Amino acid sequence: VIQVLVVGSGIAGTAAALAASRAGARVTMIALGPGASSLAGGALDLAPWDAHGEAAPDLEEDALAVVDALDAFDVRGPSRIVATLAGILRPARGVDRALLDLGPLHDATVWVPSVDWPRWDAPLLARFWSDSAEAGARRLVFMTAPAHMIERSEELAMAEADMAALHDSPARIAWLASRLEEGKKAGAPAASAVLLPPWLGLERSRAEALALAVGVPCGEAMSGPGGPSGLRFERARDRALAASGVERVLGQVTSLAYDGAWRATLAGGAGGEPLAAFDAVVLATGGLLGGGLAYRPMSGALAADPRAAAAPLLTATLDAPLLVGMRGAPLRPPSSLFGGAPESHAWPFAPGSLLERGGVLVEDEGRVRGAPRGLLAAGEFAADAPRTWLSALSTGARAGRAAAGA
Amino acid sequence: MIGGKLASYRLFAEEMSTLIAKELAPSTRCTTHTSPLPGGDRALDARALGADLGVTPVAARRLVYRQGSRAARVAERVRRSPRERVVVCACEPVIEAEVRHAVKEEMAETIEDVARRTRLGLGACGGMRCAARCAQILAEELGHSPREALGGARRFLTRQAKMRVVALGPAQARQEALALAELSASLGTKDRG
Repeated sequence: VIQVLVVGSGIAGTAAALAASRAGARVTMIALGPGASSLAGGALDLAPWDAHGEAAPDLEEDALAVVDALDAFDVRGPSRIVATLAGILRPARGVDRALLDLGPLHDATVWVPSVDWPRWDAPLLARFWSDSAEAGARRLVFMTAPAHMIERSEELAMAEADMAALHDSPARIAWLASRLEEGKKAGAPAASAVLLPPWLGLERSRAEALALAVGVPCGEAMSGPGGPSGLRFERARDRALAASGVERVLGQVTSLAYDGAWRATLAGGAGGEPLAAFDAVVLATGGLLGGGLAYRPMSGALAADPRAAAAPLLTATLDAPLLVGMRGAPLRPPSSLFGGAPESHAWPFAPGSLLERGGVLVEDEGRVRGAPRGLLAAGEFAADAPRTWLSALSTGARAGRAAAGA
Repeated sequence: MIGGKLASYRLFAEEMSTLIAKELAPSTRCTTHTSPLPGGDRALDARALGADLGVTPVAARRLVYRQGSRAARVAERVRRSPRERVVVCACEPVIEAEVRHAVKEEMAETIEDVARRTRLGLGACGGMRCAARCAQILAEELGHSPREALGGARRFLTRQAKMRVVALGPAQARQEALALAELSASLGTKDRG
């Protein structure tokens, strides 16, 4: 049996582990903690949704199999429309099932229950959503009317994820449905759907159960980092990895070496049991946000250590035979002792440049360029792929499959 | 006199006036040290104010720090409309009533104006969590269209990121990656018209 090591437990690493396992490999996943995937809001893009004119390709079968195994997201069928707490409606290729998909609605009224909960200013949000281009094109109207959905006063001070955890209880969902019924009796509009704060479950989405009780589609608006969607991903991942028999290790890989097989060194792990040798390794440690890549401008260090001054601006945080670069070319150290000028590589001066595209150079299927056989990279750790959730999932699934065939 | 800080302008002015007064020898006595600045006429008990309004002690303390006795006017808003006690900017923190007060009483018209008056959006997250919400409030107070308002939020976030870029280090680059991911996910980096 092929032994595959996956480093990182975000969506790319998860996809790699599930795809490799599905292809018959024995998989070990080493990861330290949450990264970008745990902060995602639940609107899933393949190409960035706000870039013009980019037609997104179809998802491959391996990627769809990963989505099915997670059993928490919908990506098949036509594009979705979700409402964000920032006040827009936006298209999304896929969604976390707890989010309300406005895509199927036309000529419809959506009820936004108003409730005295800090991050939910229903009248203002409804006005913003009603004004968006997507609402105009579909003739969607967002109406508010009160619903008393707060059970205890402590809930007023609770964060979104804590509210979502409360709604894991079937009793609470039944109570919420009864509150919405009362709101309807008290004059809420006859609505085709109900759009709610991001409260609908943490273990898994409770939107479907609520919709059954209420009789129309119900779902969350999309919230920002720290909302419940990232946590639902973590739980869906843990269930899917356990079901497919992936062995999980908590730790940080500091280096990888090849001596006919791949061997990993863990941080602080001199005394521990050595890890088995692996036939293939998938690196899915994330980009700048996840911690797989680090930005190191060298001003300050240049006098003390000339070698530090000669390093590229973006480096991998683990030691492995790989090259960091972008647009297919390795990075060079900047020509100035003071480092590169940030306005030449950093957002918002230089969108789509080094800090957004840079990563490990890969060939087809995520094979790391110039590395011995069996080293792959996926997700935001790899260069030149869009920094989107579904791109990370697709590159992860591809790399996992390739690793299993190593 | 060129330059200075808010806290030192008055001291500079007082010292300069003393020098000039020596030359002119006027008969009126100096009153600078006895005239309070706006909000400086009396001390407010931030803890009691917070408890009274249902605002956390930290938010109440910051409100009183910025507004002095004028915090009472912001408090009046909360008493009329208790919803306005909610925190808009969690980093500084700034409550909704203070944002609305800045628009109604202090001539704020943009998020930048609100930021200068309240420090909204100038904390650790750089406006990532509050710019859109502040834009919604401004639109309501000033009758702006939602589209104009969200364009204002995008402009604010972009401008703030440009100001931070000079201090970009390993940790700040990570924070910027998060801010950019959040902006792209929930607002979009471009105005789609």
